[in-house]
Amino acid sequence: MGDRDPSTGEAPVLANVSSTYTEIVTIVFSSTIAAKSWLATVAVVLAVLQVLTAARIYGRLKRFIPLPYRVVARTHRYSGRLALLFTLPVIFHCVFILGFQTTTTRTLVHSIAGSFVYGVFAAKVIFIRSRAYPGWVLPVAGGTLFATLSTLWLTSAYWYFTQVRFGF
Amino acid sequence: MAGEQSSRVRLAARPLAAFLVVSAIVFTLAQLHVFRPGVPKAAAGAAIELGDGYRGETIFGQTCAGCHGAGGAGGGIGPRLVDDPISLARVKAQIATGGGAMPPALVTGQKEKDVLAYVATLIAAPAGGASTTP
Repeated sequence: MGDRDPSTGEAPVLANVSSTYTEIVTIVFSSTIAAKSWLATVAVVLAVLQVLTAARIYGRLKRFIPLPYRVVARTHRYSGRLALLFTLPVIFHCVFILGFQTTTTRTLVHSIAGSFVYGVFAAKVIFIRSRAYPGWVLPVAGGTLFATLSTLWLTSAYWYFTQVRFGF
Repeated sequence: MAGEQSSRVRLAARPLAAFLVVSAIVFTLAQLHVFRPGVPKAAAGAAIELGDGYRGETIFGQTCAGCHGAGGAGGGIGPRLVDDPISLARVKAQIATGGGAMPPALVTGQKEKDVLAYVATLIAAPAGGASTTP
């Protein structure tokens, strides 16, 4: 392939991906972690919207969300897709650049939840696409996905905003 | 009866398999983390104590990026640090004593270690990394 960096033994292209990612992200944000924190926050806000619209779809919160079923269902679908999109740069940095870390309880919990989140999402997609499952399965899967995403946010963005810095 | 049971098993197996396969793929990729920025590039065999690069990145953004540019990419009055062949020991000395337009001891103690951990991921270490020894 190519020459390896004599100091690290790594192919330069691999290290360059990390620097390129940092260069792109710092056009808007002060650091990669600030970028991830804000992107994850947007994803969690959309996930809250998911829970609210899902509750409305199941006949709850009619007083608080007085919108027609079609609008709510469409909002639910698109907010879900958008939330998934916002998680992609975050998962790229977490999985491909940082990796599974066990240095503190926070990073361990974050790494475990991060490994599961797309698995839960994949299972939920199967539940959505099939009518063969009992009615309680989809809300449980959605709730599990929301809980996993919230755990990820609490162990990263919330930690960053409260313990390190609140800002872009 | 048996047919109903097997279809139930199949129903349960599909999402479970999807969950396990996807989680295993993500976990494996996270273990490999192929784009990691070196361990850190300039710190191979270094005797310089490094802190938390994560915090260092934030401190760098607040304290150093004004001159060295966001992510050390240059653009200010300070030199570009990305892929700079400077040694980590030289960076440490520069932080401690200052020089040029840079005041001394902008960051000290744990903050200095954190910044060094972050800067080590930016600069290009000289071959062998021997100059990283203080």
